[in-house]
Amino acid sequence: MTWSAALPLLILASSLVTGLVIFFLKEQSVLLRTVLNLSGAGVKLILVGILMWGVYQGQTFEARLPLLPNIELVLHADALSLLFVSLSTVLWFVTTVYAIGYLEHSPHRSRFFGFFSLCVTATVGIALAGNLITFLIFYELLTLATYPLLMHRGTADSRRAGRIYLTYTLAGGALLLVGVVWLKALAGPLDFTATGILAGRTDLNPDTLRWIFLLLIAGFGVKAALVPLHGWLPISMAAPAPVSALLHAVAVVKAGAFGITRVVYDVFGVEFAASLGVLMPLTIAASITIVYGSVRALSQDKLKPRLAYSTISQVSYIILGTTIVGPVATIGGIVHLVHQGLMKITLFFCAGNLAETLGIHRVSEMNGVGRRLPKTMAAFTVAALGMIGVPPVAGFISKWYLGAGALDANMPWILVILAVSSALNAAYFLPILYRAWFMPATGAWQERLERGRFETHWMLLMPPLVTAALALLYGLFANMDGSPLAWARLIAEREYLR
Amino acid sequence: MATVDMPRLILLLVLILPWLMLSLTAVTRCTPWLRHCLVVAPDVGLVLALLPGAGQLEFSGLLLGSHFGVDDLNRLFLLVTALAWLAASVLAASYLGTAARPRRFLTCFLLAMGGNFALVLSQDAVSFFTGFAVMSLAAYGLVNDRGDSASSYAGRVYIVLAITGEVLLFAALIGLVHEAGQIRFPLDFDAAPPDWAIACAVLGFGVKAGMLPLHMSIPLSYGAAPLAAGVALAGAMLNAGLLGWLRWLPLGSVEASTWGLLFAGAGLLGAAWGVVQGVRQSSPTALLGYSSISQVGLMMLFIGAGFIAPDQWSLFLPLLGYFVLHHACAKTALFCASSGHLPAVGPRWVWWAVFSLPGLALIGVPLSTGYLAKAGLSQVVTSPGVGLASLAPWLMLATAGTALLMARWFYLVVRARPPAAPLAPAPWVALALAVLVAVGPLLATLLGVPVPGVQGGLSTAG
Repeated sequence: MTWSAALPLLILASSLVTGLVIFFLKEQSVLLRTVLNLSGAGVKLILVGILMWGVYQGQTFEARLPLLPNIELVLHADALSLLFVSLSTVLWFVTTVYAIGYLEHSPHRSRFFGFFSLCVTATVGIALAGNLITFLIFYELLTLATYPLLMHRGTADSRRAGRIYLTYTLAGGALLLVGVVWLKALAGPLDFTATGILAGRTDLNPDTLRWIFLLLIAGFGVKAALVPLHGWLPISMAAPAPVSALLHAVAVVKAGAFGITRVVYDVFGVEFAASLGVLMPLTIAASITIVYGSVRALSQDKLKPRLAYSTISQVSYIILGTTIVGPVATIGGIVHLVHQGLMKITLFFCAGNLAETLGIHRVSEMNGVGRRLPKTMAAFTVAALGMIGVPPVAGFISKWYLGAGALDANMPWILVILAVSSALNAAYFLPILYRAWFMPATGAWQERLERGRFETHWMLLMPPLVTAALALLYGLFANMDGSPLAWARLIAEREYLR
Repeated sequence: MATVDMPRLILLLVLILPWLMLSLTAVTRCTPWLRHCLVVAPDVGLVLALLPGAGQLEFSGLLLGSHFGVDDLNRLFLLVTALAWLAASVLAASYLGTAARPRRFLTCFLLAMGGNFALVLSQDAVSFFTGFAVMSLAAYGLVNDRGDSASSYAGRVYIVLAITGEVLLFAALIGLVHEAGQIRFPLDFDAAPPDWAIACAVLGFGVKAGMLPLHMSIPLSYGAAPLAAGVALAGAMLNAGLLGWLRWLPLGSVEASTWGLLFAGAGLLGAAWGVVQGVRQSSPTALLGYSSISQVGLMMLFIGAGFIAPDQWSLFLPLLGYFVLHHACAKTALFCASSGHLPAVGPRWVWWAVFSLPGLALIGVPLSTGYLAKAGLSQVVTSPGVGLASLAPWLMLATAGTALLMARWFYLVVRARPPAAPLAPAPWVALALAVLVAVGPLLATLLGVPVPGVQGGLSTAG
């Protein structure tokens, strides 16, 4: 096996093997588990770095394993997959640190970290998948790996969350399977192609293709929490904070959004999809989701559900960017994949810190918390402002490209959606900041951790600081080489404009 | 940055000093030493404004490619911004000693200052918008610093309007840049940008500039903010809205009589409304807020004229510049004097006489800066091709209104008689600024010393 085929497999193995070994560790072997976790995440980080360097140099990395007659498991590194791989790898590392701190004294840690690693393996598999079949396999694996994580606490709430999650995602997976099999039967091999597998296939019935598009989008739309398929997401808030963080930032909802991006660009081809007339309904669905999520977020007093509805809204920005024809909007959608991930994971880390350090779960308990947890709340502030789209935080860059792309495509009404969404984001985030920084402390907080050198456990504090700093820097230095924006431009250039 | 020469180095310093201070604030305690360092950035800003010629700085990796520099238009805004932040910093250094939440105030103060300098010096629309957003949002912390019910109400009104403004400006930014095809200033428009984009820019910056009917937060926030913050709001941040209009709107390139008449109409309305509401105030700083609304109304007449007669815009712009300079200096001085404290030396009436100077200048008594500024204004409205000559009598009325306002302000300040505070810096800052307003620009013009950015205008006005 050549190096270019081995590297994608090694990247998968770095978390898969770690996960499998951790399952067999005793609960008490904290040190060994920590070392395994961190070295797995670290090795993956290095391997992905090598991969990025290679792709940047123009090398191609591809692994093909025969699976069934006529069906291959393909792992392929293109610019788009790299963006998603690097996002999940970096955030996995950070979240692992966070999770170690978060679960320091809780039971079943081997089970947790085992599935946690499997979850990342599945996400990376989705990112590297080179055809629709491979994508589907890892997509289903992701469903199965996240289910035990959601139910980790074992309370009635979390069991209910797990049940609902499984119902939604398995139904979505079934639709997806039907769509993929149908398409495979019609069109043959489904290797992702930059301009779309189906583009230019005049031999296929357009109506059939529209049905297949609907099936695929419905399948991915469940995980991407596209209204009305979003019901599972707010309920899944019963999961521990690191799980929510990973779920909302890279793993599950992103996998759905990423799937939609793949279907539109690499299966149908954006221009072909537009000519079929299937993009406009999706644009409208994304717009409705953006506004609906924000409106529902307004009325949530519990912090995590408020963030969950915010995710529903923000992930649809990616879908919006995907469905607007034109390179500028494409850049906006793709770069938001990274930007939303960084900002949302920060918010969930901070929510976890509030809960773990002071027992705060509701917005109304946050009065004056800025004085007790200044660094946590500073990170929260940066991420929240980014969600609103305030420059120079990264969210602004996404919105800029989405708005400019909408005008390029002669769809100025999208600007109204973006403006309304910004205003609504402000309406549900700014009151939180106001309470934290400008109201006197009124709540009786339970100090749950021993006060050390920092405002909370350092493993809980560092991750949100790092991700918030990245969200800020990626916006402030958006035009720099190597920034997510630069990658997104490269993707738009290499993949879709030839 | 190939070579570092003096003006470019100073430019860089003005841009980054507030952020350096901010990072210091994050890692150290709010020591007296740090507080007194506040004045450094505005000082450097003043130097930059007065330095002839200034380099440009390009940071290609920053945002979407940022350019900063001093040109004829922003030199004057830099001057007033630096003056106002200097006054504000002197007051803040003293206020921070007694503030309940000094670190929060200092953070917001530095963020607003940094954003303000960045937007004034920016040479592209995205950097401008970024500076503007940072300044606007951080200023909330200044408005609601006291946290009592009045300031939290003022803060609420302020933030709702500020966010509305930001959202409108975002749409305007996308629309205008799409039409211009570039983010670099000046935005060159071959054809008129869409009306919705102009409307968004007018309203978005109108929030900051105090344009009717988006003016509500101005008097409330001036009244609620601590004096140090109020000075910055009134003397510096208000002008950011004006500069935004001048930078973003297609002035001088596209004829848009409808926008011109709308601007002039809203301006006149603001000029009148500011007086009517202002005389009813019992807080001298809130009154100054209404005075600003009224004066911005007058400044909007310049812009209206520019929309109607784009070929004469190059003539109007320096006259507007002089008006801005005059108003900002006078308003900053009045704000500092609003504390009612007097220096503890000499007879009181002397001080009161000195403190009335900026008010007299605002009214436009002969030999004052206001006289020249208003002469410029009547020249603009009566110039052929603008067709606003019928407004001339209304300008007289506006002058009478300003006189009424200033009389009321004077009465309120004298009546307040605050307890003696022998070390309070406010009266001394007010004194310095009053003298500057009274004699500075005028003296400079009479002696033939060029006032930055306005020499062309003054020769026409005088």
